[in-house]
Amino acid sequence: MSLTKRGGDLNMKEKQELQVTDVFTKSRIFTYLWIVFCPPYGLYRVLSPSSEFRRPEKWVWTMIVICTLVTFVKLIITG
Amino acid sequence: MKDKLMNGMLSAAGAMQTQRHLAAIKNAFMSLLPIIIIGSFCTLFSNVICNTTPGFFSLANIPGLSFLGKLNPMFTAANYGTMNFIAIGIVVLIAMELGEHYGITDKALPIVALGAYISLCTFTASGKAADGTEVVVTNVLSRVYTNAQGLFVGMFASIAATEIYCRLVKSGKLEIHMPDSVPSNVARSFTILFPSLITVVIISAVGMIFEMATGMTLFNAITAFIQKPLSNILTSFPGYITLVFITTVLWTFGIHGTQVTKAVYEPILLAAFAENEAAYAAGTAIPNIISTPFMSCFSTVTGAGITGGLIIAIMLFSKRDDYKAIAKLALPCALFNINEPLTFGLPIVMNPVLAIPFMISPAVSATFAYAMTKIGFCGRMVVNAPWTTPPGLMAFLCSGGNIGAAVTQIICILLAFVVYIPFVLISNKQQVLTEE
Repeated sequence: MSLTKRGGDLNMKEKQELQVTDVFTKSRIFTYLWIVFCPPYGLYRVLSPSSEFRRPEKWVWTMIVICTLVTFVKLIITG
Repeated sequence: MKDKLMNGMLSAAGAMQTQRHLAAIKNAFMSLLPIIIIGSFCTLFSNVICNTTPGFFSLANIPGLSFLGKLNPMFTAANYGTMNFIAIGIVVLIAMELGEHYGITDKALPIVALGAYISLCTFTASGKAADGTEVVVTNVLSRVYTNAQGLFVGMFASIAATEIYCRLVKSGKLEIHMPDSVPSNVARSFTILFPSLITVVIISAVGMIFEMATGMTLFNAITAFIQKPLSNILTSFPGYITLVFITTVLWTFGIHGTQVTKAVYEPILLAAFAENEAAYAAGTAIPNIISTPFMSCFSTVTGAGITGGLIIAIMLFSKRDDYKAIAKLALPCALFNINEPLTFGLPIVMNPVLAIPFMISPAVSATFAYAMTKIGFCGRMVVNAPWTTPPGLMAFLCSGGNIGAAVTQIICILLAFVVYIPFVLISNKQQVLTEE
């Protein structure tokens, strides 16, 4: 196989992996903002059927939002 | 000779890129990137906007803007919920990414991986009480295990648990067969019961036997004998320069160097950044110079190889119309640290003349930035801004609003410009010779 083709194949494989542009789409950026300013709605956007988030990401964002909400409530209660 | 070298490089890069564990780690860190960026920006906002501590520079301390202090719990909570659970996130993400590679998408898999990781942790934490006395608390999970300090062990535990679990499930020997009358979701719970149990027990047993044999927990041993030495190498100046050099060498062969080496350096530099971020939030001295944002700010600014310097050099000194046309096209992309139009357009890839400054520039820039940080002119990196943030603004944000950092970043691009000039002049001569 030619060197150019092998190099091209490698870059194709790299493109199939998750890229920065995949995790910073316009819709996702809005979801990140909602997660900070209104976590329940942010979580709704993450879990909605039309969401761009992949299955593993849905799991992690759910955990993050729960932790954020618990900490927020704790901070409100304890001052 | 050249072909042999190229073949070797491509084979090594190909092996690294397609290796399932490294691919899972890379994807997991990519998924984690927005979480880290949100966490670090929340630290910045809670310190620079909402901090009401008297004498502290913050918008909330300006008369009439004190209401901003009321927003502090929101940013503090978001910061706590993100930065303190990175290790947990990485365990879950790696397990699911690797599981998908094996075709196993059980909901139990991330929970089993998490259980296996937690089984390696200890449940006591020590700290100082308000009166200064040493206190030991039992039945708690210290945040050492959930924040960036636990990344390395989390990665190992998650990979080990997933490998064991997937093999056991795929073997099918531990399945409990239920009658047809049992609903399929109930039957599935029994199918994965023994693989889940055995996976967690094996990891836990390894941890227990290790502790009995050495008197040291597996978590502490991995941290002390693998994570610390690797961290000392990569966050040291020579180690970092070597890493930058390898990355750019791969780029010059047409391989995305950052993607290939990321799985190795990301956990280490991220842990160093998390230490900085925690110190910034606590108002204590920032410990590390080299961290993830340092790389974005001073080694890959305007793109790998600091090609912003090349664009300026081409615009001022190149006599080649083709170079000038590509430089004009690449300029808007370079403002957002994207350099593919240049690397593949000029090209820099497989171009011996431009490959040399492409490899030298990031090392020169990193050396200068390291020296500036060491003497205190450039602030240490405490915020992880998105890598597409324009030069100058990026260093300003990443350093928590330090003007010296922004100036250093601009000087780094100018240094790269100086490095590229002779090679642009050589390419002019090359063009003349070709035409003759």
